[in-house]
Amino acid sequence: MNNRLKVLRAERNWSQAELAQHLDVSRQAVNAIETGKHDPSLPLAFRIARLFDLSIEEIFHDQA
Amino acid sequence: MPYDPHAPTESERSGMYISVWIGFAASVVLLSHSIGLAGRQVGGFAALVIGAHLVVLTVGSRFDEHFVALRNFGFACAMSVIGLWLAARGLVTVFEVSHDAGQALAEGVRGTADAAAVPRWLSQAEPMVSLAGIAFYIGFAAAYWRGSR
Repeated sequence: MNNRLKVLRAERNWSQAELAQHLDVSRQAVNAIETGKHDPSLPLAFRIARLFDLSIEEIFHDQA
Repeated sequence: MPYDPHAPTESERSGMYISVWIGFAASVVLLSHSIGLAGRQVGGFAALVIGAHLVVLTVGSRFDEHFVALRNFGFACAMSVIGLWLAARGLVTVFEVSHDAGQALAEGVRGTADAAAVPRWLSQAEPMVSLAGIAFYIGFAAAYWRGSR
């Protein structure tokens, strides 16, 4: 699953650790989501969407 | 999400990943001990580190979902090693019983199964749990690099 998390984070000048602190996850989890190595659960996807004030579909894109 | 004043910080969550690498190093030491390359005290200390670490990983609940996904893959690898070990032990036993039965049929005497004696190390717990431990850490590392999707 592709996502815009890295772009959104860069727009706010946040480090991965800072974003991780906002989302209550580890820096490694943010890195794994950004690089497509981990697909977030629905609750985490909602937290990400709420944090950036966007819908889930505006952040995550199905590869199909 | 409700506010949790005792929720782990980002650095505490990241620290769990570091603890896995420490556990991996300890599992290599324990395996070395199992094959006779490390001393008894060193092996015992490594076993203590791995045992405590695996218990914390099993009963702990304050990990993020990425860590849990990696942990679960590591556990699956460890259980696979235990399953393979027990299957191998079972196959040797089947061979042993077959050997006995064949000898009894052919010679009319009860077989001694000397030729198919179970290797001593196959009946020992320490090599198995050492391999299972190292399989957990290798599985965790593999899932970390490859991705947990």
